[in-house]
Amino acid sequence: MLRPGGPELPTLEPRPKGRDWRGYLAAVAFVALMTLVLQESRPYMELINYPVFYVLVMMASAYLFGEGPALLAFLLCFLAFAYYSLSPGLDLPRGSQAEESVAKLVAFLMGSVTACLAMLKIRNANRDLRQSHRVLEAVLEHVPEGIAIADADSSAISSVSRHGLELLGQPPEARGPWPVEASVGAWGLRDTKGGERSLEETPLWRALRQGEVVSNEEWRIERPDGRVVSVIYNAGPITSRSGEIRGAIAAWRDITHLTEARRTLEEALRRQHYIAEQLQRALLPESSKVLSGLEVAGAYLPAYDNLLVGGDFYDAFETATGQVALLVGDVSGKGLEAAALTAAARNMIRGFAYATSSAPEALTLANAALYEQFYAVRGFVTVFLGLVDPATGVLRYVSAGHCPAVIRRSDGTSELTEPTDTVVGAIRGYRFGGGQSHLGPGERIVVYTDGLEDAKGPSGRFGADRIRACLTGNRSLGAADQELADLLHQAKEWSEGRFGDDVAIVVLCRPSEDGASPRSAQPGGKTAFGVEPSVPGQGGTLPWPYPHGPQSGLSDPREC
Amino acid sequence: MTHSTLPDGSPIIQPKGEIDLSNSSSFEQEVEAALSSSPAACVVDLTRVTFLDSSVIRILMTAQRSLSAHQGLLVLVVKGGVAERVVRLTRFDLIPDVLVLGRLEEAQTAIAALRAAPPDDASLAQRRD
Repeated sequence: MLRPGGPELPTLEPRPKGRDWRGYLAAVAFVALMTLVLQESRPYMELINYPVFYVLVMMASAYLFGEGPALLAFLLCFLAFAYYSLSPGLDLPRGSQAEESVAKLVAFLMGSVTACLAMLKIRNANRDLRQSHRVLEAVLEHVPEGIAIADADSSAISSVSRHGLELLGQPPEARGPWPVEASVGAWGLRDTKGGERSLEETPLWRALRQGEVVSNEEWRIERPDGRVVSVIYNAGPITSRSGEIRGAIAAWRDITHLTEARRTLEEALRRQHYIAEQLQRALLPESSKVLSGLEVAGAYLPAYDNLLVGGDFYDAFETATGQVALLVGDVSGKGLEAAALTAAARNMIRGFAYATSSAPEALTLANAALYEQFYAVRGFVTVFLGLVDPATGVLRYVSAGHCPAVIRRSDGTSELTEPTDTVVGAIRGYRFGGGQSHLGPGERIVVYTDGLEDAKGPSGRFGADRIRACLTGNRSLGAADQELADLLHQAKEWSEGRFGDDVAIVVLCRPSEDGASPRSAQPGGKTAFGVEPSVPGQGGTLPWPYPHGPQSGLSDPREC
Repeated sequence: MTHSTLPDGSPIIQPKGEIDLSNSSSFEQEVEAALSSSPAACVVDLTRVTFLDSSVIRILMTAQRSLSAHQGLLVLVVKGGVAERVVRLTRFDLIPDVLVLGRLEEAQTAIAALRAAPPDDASLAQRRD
């Protein structure tokens, strides 16, 4: 039954307004009838037996009509019995027998009160029981969940709600008890993949036998009619006051439409991911090349387990005046929308940078041109655009809301570029200012997106300081693509091969004064760009030109 | 997140902990609710934020657009940590109608000062230099 402190039940028996006179009348009639019967049976019955009959009348009044009529019946019975016992008009023996009669009267009084109280208690208990039962029946009937109640002693399911029978594909008139085994056998309970499970693994059994509270477990029901229903299961034990498991209750809800929706969504996301990734790949330049004597290498790595492709991109090209442009960007947002904006942003910035040969001017124009497009999706793009004069090494750049680029000096130290401007595409009419630096012979610049800084490992994020440390110190300098591969290798080791976000990186090296490319100094290097392609999936970058795009050349983080 | 207002009634939003794509929607709702009454200024105190990603920038940029549509001010409070770094990288200080401050207590006087002498294009250019 429902425990005290549990839900308040509605009162099903309407309480009478005022006294129900019919109960009182019936009680009077009962007593009168009994007195009449006793009067007639006087020749055959001793007075001592009378109380027994009167007590019966009182008990009947208490059980059938409640407290008030019971009290009236008691008073009437008492008067009648007192009349019989004490009336001098009756031919009763006097003397010592009178005291005996008083004693009998007191005994009668006590007996009748006790009997009445007991009867009232039973009456009320019965009423409560019926009420709780009716509430329970209503719950089982109307709650849109399957509910089963099992009994510990008989190891049987005593009742299943109407909706439960419906979900199980059983006829609505089916009545228990069913053995607990029915849940795996006749009722076809399976795991989410449709595999059969032992009885001991089912929620109801675990609640019934181990007292386990099972919450929100996914199961499948393979119904006799062949339909498969996905359900979410909850179960828990019903315990006695001493904590002994007396039974269990299980509830299951139909989530078929939810699982189907989830599957459709996953499928759609996967398709979108594929399209966006193809778009992204088509956008990216090849991984390494030489532009006006400057070596450039770039890489893009998609996030490990994010179905939505991010908007990271990179590019390197010569402008109209022969400067070498270095472009890395990150469009806010993910998915197809971001991929489309990425294409627009990259191509537009490239076009303006080519035409103007000025980073601030190119981004001011791109910002004006892209504003409406970005405004529509409340997005923006962070950009690092640097233009290097290959003859002098002067670097004019704009760092628009982007991570600082790292410049490695020839003495082994490093510098970070200043953040110069806000993001592109967010502020209408914004004029970009930019900054300036210089790349000496043998010096290099590394530009990346925040996915590299934010790469999470067991000991935290990779971070800007660690990136800087990877690029500086007394280490031998490789070619641009070697530098890139080293940095990626360290970041991958840090994050155990899984980037939580997309990463784009570009490295640009200015050759040392003797004109020798770092690559040509490497043992085994045939010519500046004659290194054999690495085995796909084994790390490293590929020589320019590489016809299949960069990803196949770089080791895929998903394979790590 | 906790709510309060400046003496002039401008809302103050004080998010805490890490905000990234997974939980930025509640921050966005907070900001949208604060801007629904078109206040003269909105203060976002990021001093208790330990991590934020580009989704937060997007929300702040959107807030700036909505505020500047009626000459409202977006006031960002940052003091060290990731939030200051991101706000500095994004150069919020160069964006019109945005104030970047180090202490929440300065907000009221800074807003009043800016209202008294709104920066023109020349001073913007100066700040950039």
